[in-house]
Amino acid sequence: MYFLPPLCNTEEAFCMHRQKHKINWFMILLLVPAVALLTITILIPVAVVIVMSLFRYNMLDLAHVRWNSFANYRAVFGSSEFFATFGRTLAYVAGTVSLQFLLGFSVALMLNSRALRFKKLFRGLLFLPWTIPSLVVAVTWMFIFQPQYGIVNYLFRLGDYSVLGSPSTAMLGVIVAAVWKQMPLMMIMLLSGLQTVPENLKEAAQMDGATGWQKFATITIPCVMPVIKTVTLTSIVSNFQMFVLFFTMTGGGPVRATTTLPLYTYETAFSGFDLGKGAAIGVCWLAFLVVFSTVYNKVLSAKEVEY
Amino acid sequence: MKKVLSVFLAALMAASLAACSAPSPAATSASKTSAAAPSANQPVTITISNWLEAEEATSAIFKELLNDFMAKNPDIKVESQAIPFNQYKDQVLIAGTSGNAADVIMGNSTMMCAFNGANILAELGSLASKEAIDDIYPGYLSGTTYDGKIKALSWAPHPIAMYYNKELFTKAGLDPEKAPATWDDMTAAAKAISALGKDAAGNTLYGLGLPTGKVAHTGTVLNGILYSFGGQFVDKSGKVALVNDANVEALTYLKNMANAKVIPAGLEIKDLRGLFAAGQVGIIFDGDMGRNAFRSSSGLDKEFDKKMGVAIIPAGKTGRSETVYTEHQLGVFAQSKHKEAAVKLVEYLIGKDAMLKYHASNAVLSARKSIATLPEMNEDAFMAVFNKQSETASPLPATNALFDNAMNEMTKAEERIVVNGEDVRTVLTETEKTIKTMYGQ
Repeated sequence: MYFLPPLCNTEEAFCMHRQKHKINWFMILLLVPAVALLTITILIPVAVVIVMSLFRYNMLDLAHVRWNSFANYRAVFGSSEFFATFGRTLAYVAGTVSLQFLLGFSVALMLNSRALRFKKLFRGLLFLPWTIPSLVVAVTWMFIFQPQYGIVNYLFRLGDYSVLGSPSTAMLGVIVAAVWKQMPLMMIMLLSGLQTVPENLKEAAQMDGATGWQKFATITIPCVMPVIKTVTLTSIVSNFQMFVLFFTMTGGGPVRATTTLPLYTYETAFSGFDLGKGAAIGVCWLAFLVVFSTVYNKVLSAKEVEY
Repeated sequence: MKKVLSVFLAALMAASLAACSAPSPAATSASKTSAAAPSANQPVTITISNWLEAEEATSAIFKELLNDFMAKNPDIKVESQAIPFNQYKDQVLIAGTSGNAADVIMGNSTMMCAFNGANILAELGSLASKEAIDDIYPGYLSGTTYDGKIKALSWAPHPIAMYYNKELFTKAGLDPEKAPATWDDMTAAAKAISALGKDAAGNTLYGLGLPTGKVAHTGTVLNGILYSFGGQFVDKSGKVALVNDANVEALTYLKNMANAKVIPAGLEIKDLRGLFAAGQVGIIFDGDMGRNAFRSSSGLDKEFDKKMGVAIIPAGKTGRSETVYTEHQLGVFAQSKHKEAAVKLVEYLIGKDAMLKYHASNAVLSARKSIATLPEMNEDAFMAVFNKQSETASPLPATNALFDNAMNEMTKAEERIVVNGEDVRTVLTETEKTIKTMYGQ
């Protein structure tokens, strides 16, 4: 049997119920612009691309768009070029994100150290590359890697060797440029995470005889894991879409050594005029990222702790 | 509450979707307005899509030419749609296939074949004057004719000729006033220059600057080299035919020259222009626009002209100077409501007054015999060489809408051979198969 609180009668209970379920129109109104923007800029384009991928959509014949029974997907998965390109993209993302993370975390740890002076100055200087537009970064690094008068060839005594012109080192050249540009953001995010690690925990561990490495592995890393998860996942997703550096620095060459998924999609859709197949490549890559993000989040969430 | 919120947000998303897909009344009425015939007193407004206005070197002269046309034709107003070069083909293609292209469409050979493939160009054989059409060099007219129909008129052709560095010639013991006349002479000169080793600053000296990588333009230049060796890209019936002894010989030549460091491997024309301007390349193949690039890259402006000589491409296996040309072309949108006014603008731009002005400003050539032979168009040895080169320049085999892609494949083939050192015949066989699949052959 349900007993009402002593001071409430039936009418009061009904009023409380109504108040609890009263529609907050003001809150809804505040959400409208954001939802509309998300719908227009993300949901609609994604839906359009998915639909396009199911049709024969040739730029030279837009008057005859027709359903082609998944022929675009058959063409994508039947092509060894797609898998080779996917492999190169994975290699680029793995290399770039790993290097960025290692460098960014190392620098963040140094900046978080009490012993370091002029932290704000170093932080400001180290953040500068992030503020430079990607196109400018690409052109700058093209000059740096220029075989005849670039500084890399001069410093490393490479003679006329072309880093960006050689299939074995072109990808490495682009990775270096990407890490230089993106490391500052990783560093700042990890630094902010490091600054939330409770000092009393580290002191307590110190008193219990923990070594520096043990404190780092059992206290620092778990505490900053939410930041690590977010920032690495963001970096993975954004590097999967890296177009500007590849298009400007190497054009996807030499001999397709730096042709990654964004470039391959661009070539298929705009050079090959096959918008349908280009859309299919985009959908495959979207599906991969959705699955990957879900798994990645689950795995790293298990390692988070709250003290 | 949660249910109401969810329903409301879903409705909002659906409304956004509907709003984005429906054409706006303003756009619909605007398109109807532009399609309506102008009244007798109102000037006709036509549009011209181009990249010239988006580039510093050509913006002012292009606007001047349009203003001159409007001054002579007060009943026609011209609006320019400036689109950066890198995005030009895609934007015009999308605009054209959706019925919104400009009345006059500028393009180059590779773009125009894509526009023709998308059926957005009007046939000019019946629209343009016979006088203008008959005056165009046959080689240039064939480059704008598809399946027997004239789809554009050649405006500013750029045949590829040979520049050479007189200082490097002197250092290598060659006569700086005597350009190599045959392919063998040129090869010997190139080898002599690369044998010099390095310049005073320690930079490697190359004898010959031929593009062998990166962009589709490299593939287009390769066509000229294949022709010099008696080779071809397509056979007489238009079928892709890359695997032949002449093509193998041409690519083997490039491979050997790159291995011997006579040609810098894997570079595109932009890189080579920089090296030529810096005095690190002895001989380079480039169009007439190369001179401005060398002048500005070197920082010497017109003083650089004293260091370089220019000549027609040396005679190869065929016994004549073989080369290709790229060109600017002017076409009319198939769905234009003002074709007559559009053709009038096209004929003005390729006509004598406009060409003399454009030539004086940017040293462009004319595709028309009566204009190309005028003294004003041959005012110096430089222009005389390029006009001479026009006589034997062949059009690019741009007969298929996917020609640009095919040239990308040719560039990749060159990279595989010259940079990767792969077998020539194997690469040519695979490339031919890829391009034939692309062309639907």
